[in-house]
This record gives sequence, structure tokens and C-alpha cells, in this order.
Amino acid sequence: MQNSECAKLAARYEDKRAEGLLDVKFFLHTTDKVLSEEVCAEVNRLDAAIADGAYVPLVFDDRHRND
Amino acid sequence: MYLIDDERVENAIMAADAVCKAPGVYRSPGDYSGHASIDAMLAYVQTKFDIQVHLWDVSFQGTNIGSRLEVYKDRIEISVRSDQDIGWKRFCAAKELMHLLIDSAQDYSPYGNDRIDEMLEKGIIGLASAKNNPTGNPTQSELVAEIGAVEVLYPAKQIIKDIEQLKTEGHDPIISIPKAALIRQMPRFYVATALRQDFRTFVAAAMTQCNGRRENSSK
Repeated sequence: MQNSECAKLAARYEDKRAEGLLDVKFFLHTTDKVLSEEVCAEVNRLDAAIADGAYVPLVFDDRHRND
Repeated sequence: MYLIDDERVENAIMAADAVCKAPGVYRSPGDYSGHASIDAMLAYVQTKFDIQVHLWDVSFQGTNIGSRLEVYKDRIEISVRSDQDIGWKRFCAAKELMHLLIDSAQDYSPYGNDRIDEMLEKGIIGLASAKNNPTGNPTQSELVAEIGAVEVLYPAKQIIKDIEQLKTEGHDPIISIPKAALIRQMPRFYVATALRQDFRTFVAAAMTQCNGRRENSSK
């Protein structure tokens, strides 16, 4: 259990709370057949990607020029 | 259909209306015929709350998570999964930004793993699967944020205009979901949601209930 994906996630969220985290929300696309371990593993990959710098600003360049 | 607080739905629709009128979100206030700008929506939220909002396109292997919102004392972090199509990325961003506009402190929880358990347990995987009649605050928050995002990306007022235009042109008054999804740059699923009669009725009924309560309390 201590090595489970959800246990790893819980430990990291403890650190995040110490950093000042107030709220977290996820947008799940999946069906209700999925196990929480699978979703926790995915969040762990998300955080690992951020730690590895595998991200860029998401800019859509979609602004209307009316201001 | 959905057991969601009427006042929360009204709040989301009003927040969405304010977003639609914000600079750069649409061509002009009231002309919602094109796509909504997510960049301008983000700028509106940043200005309104005077806080840095980081929106990231993150490369990670996944199928379940479209996006994540993290609210810190000094900043907001929104992570969107990179391998989604542009319509889904836009919807993810709009939905997370809606949370910032509509959530209250009672919707907050900084426990990521508990949040996942709760969502899976209650089956809150989007508007289509509200089958377990969610009544808790965090889960209501998910559905209401989606309703608000739908209203930003395809406002009800514009749906009525589009239907009227089809009638004027002598066509059947049935909006093409693929065409609307292309114009509005949003997922077909949420165009279909926006057009569903039960969804529109649900939102309109919540607004009517709230208006009625306001009138009664002012008497």
C-alpha cells in the first residue's frame, strides 16, 4: 500500500499543502470503470512531466481584437 | 436530470455571461457568432482576482485526465494534457477557469488522492454521467463548472440566434453539431450537450427558480 500510486500521490500532495496548496480539481474524461490506482498513476506521470520540464505555456492565439 | 443547486447554476450562467462580455472574448459584446477566446478569458480571470494564472500544455501519457487545476495562496496552476485535440484543450481550460469564477471556500479540498476517490466513487466524469445524483459540494462544483464552460463557448442566446437564422434561410432549424463544433472550436460532445432540450430546459428552469425567489424575497 505504501508503494501504491495513490500513496505516492498522497505523499506529494502533503508537500504541496505545505507549499500553500488550497484546492485541487481534476477534469476526468474517463468512464466509471477506471480504478483510482490508474488515475493516481496518471497524475503521478503528470507531475513527473512537470518536474522534467515537459511542458510549455498553453496559448491559443484566439483573442478578438476589440479592446 | 441533475440534482444541482439552482443558485449555483444561476451563478455559473451569470459568471459565463460576464466572461462573454469581457474584452477580447468575443468579437463584441452580444455578437457571439464566432469562437470564444480562451486567452482573453484567462486574462479576464487574472485581472478580476489579481493573481497569476499559469496555463500549461503538459506532455504525459494518459487517457483519463484532461486537465488539473491547483489553487495556491499566491498563484493558480492549470495543467492540460498535451495530446488532446484543440477543442478539448480549449474546453479543459475554460472549465478550469470557470472553477475560479464560481467556486467558494466550501468547494475547496487540497487532497488530490481523496478528490480522485470521491470523483470515481460518485461517478462524476462529466455532464453525461451525472447518473448518481451528485449532491456534495465538490462534485456539484465539477458539473456547474462544465455548465458554465458550455455557456461561455456556446451561449444559449447564440443558439437561439443560430436556430432563427436557419429558419430565416428556409432550412430545418436543426444546428449541425460538427459544423458548430468547428465554428466554436469546442468538442462535439459539448455542442450536443448545449443543444439538448433537457439541458436547456434544466438551465432555464434553474434561472426561473432563482428569479422567482428573488422576486418573492423583494416583496
